[in-house]
Amino acid sequence: MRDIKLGNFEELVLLLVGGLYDQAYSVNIVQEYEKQTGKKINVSAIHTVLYRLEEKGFLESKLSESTSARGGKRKRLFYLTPYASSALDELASLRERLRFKISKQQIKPA
Amino acid sequence: MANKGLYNPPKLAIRLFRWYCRPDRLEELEGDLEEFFYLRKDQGEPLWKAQLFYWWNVLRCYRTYSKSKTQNSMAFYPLFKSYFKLALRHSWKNKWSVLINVLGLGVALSMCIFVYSIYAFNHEFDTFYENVDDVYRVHAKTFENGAERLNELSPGPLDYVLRNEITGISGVASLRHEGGTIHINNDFFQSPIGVVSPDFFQLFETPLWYGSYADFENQPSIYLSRDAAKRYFGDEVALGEKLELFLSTNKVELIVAGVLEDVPSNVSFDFPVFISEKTFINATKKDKNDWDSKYYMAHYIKTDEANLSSIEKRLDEYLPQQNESRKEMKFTSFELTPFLSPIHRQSAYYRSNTVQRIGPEPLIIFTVLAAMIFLVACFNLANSSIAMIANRLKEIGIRKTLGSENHKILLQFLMEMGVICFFALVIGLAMVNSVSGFVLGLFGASFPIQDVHLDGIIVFLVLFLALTTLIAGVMPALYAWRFQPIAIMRKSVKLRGVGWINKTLTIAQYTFSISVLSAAISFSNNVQFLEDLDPGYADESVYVLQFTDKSNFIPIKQELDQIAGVTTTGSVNHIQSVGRSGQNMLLEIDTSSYQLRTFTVDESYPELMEIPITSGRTFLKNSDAETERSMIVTQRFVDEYFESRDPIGAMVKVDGKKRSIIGVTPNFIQDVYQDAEDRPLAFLPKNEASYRYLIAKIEHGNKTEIESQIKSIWSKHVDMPFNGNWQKDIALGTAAEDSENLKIIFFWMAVLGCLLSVAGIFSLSKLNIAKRVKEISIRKVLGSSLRQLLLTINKSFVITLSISVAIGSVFGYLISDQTLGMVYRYYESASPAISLMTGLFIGIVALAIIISSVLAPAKANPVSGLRQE
Repeated sequence: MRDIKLGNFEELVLLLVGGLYDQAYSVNIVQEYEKQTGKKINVSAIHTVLYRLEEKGFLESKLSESTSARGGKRKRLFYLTPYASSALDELASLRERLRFKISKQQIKPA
Repeated sequence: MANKGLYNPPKLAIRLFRWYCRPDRLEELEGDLEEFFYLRKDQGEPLWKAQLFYWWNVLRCYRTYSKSKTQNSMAFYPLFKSYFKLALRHSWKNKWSVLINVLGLGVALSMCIFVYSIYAFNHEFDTFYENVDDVYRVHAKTFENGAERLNELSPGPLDYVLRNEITGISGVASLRHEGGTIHINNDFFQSPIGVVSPDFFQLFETPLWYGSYADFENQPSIYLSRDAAKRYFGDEVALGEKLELFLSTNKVELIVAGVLEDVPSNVSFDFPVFISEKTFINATKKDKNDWDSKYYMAHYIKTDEANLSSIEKRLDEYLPQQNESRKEMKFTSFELTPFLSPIHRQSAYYRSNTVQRIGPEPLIIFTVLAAMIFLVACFNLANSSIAMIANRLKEIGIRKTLGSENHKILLQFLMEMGVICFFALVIGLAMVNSVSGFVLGLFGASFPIQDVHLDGIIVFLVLFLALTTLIAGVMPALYAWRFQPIAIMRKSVKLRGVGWINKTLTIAQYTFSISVLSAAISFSNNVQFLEDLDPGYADESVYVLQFTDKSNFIPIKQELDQIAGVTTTGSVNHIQSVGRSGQNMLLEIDTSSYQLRTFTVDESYPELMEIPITSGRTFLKNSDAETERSMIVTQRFVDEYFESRDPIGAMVKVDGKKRSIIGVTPNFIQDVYQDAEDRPLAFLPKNEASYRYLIAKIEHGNKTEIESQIKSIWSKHVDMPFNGNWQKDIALGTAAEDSENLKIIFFWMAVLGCLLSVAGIFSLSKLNIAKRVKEISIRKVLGSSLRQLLLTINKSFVITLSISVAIGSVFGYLISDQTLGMVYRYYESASPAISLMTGLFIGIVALAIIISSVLAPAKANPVSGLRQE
């Protein structure tokens, strides 16, 4: 397996970006995150991770067209790179493999 | 988003965000924040909440991804560096005025740190002990000479009562203050000794450096402070070492069982040596539980606040027993005071053997002095910088033309102030320890600044540095930054002249300098006064020997009598500084009773000590009837108890014995300090072979020779350290020396104040001239004479100076008189003439300086003044 340097939270953000295809910018990601996890998060945390992931090559981005919505200010839309997709697949299959190795007896009902 | 125009994010927050955000990400990030703001609004949140949230986001988003790199790290640093370099260069260019300013500020700073440390000394007093919030001091109240006193002592038998008979007390500790002499090898050390109960160190937890408290009770052991261990044993381990302790006439052998960790000096129990109560009682054979043994100690109890009044009531039940056994000092009630509640050194109303907080007088005196000198130093700095700026206008103009913003010029000047203040801080820190040691020594207290918590000092210093920079720096900086570059280059800038603020500051400065200088002169007069002060008895040529073992008295007296020109006498109590010696006895006149301080002396004592008798006669010699029934009293005694009646022949009872008053002496000067007690005194004759004091009067002969003879006689008979002094050295304590020290303080403050004032007025008058060069030249062209020029240019200064001299002289007189009166009971009053002379002197010096600075432009060719280039 390749050495993928991806943190837990980073992986989550990647998944959210992938899910929001073409609408993935920070405000939407914050809202989606809060909807999916039920937890509050400050936009600065999302910003930090998005820019870092872009630096690491997991994301690419472009500025959207200007609309009247945010006082004419453009937003930055993020897209998964092919590297990110393959990394997500790899991580998911690894998790799945490991998950099914656990026998039923070992999992006690909560 | 319909009503967007009415509903906007806070403008200031947007400005802040734009200031810090990197330009390439500004649009998207600002858009994100704005979108969140409108989202909240659309969810129906109130405006203030949405705005608050926007502020929150702006603050939260200050992160690496948003920070503008160029602004913070790249451009700012060299700019700052160049400011710093400029600041250093300008300081170096004006090194003399900077030096005066730095010195002035430095001293002011060290005074302020010192005042803070006094405050902290009191504020942190006894905080060394942990878990003492519910510990109380047992105080006995007495009523003496018309005033209520608090005594930190209670009778020995109460120890048992507190421990066993009163409920609600969870801990008791007792402490007795003793004096003793420690004998190690061939060295003797006199030392105060804390005699404590076994549970003392449980109540007041004092960690041990080494050793253990386990054998505190079981063997005769002694505990040393770290300093004491070093003094007695050097760097060797003291544990297990043996030493001898002399407690008056008793000798006891002790083993060092532990050395205490360093204890700060601002604690109640700052004893170099502790021994247990059991050891003490075994050695001295005193009976703690006997009401008649007059065994007193200080008690500390741990209890709940709710129990206080019931415990006090229970204690008061023992008052009759106490007062029966000690008639001359009757307790009126007992009072429990929280251990940590502040009790100041007020010796007249509080009697205790433990360390107390520093009283309010030094704090007031030094806070005022420090504040004054600090303000003077700051204003001087501001004044001289404003004057300096007048010479640097072109620099400001060029900077502005090159695009320097106003706030950067402000920063530049603040930075220069910062450099000066920093140097001042270094000097202040270097000085503070010696200053505090020196100054506090005058008030009988000593503590190194190390005893105060460091974090407080650091916060204080940082605040102080910021405050100084602001006070001293904002004025010149504000003065400089608003100039228009074009106006500067065209030379049409109007320099603001010497305004009313500067005048007030100048007056304040001179008032201060004149005040401290006249105080210095008054104190120096007082030193002489104290040295010449007649205490009311012979203090020249009288030598006093004090014995712990009375059996040495006779052989030494016999040998001394052999020396030609020496006469001797003896006494049980001796007038040293009377306030501190003498024995209290019960005085009964008619039906009322009082506490009387008495001196039991040989019949020849009054004659030898040259105590004058104003009415009646002195003691008869070798008369048994006389020793049984007579006494000599002081005038104060007569004033207090006999008013207008003739006391001679009157019968009174002293400690139950009838005595008649045979003579009256004038009052003695007991102590020159203000808080000294002025009490009625009496001399009781006693015909006895052995006394505790041997007084030798040297009628003629070489004093130093006789002193060395006395010393050799002493060492022949006594194996204790020599204990003899000239009466003059012990009579008024260190009063003259203290006055000398105060004089030195005021003198140096005066030197500093004068320097600052002179530098201040010099720079002001330079500023004045810079502003009026053209005027001077035009006047000259129009034929004004030098005298007229000097008069016109300096008129305002002369007025300012005259006001300062007037106010300064008055203040100088008041301050010296008040300070002397606050410290001393007997002092040479300050004279208004001296203050006035001082004022005039300083005024004339200042005038000379102003005139000299005007002379140059006034004598110069007017053409150069008008061309100005």
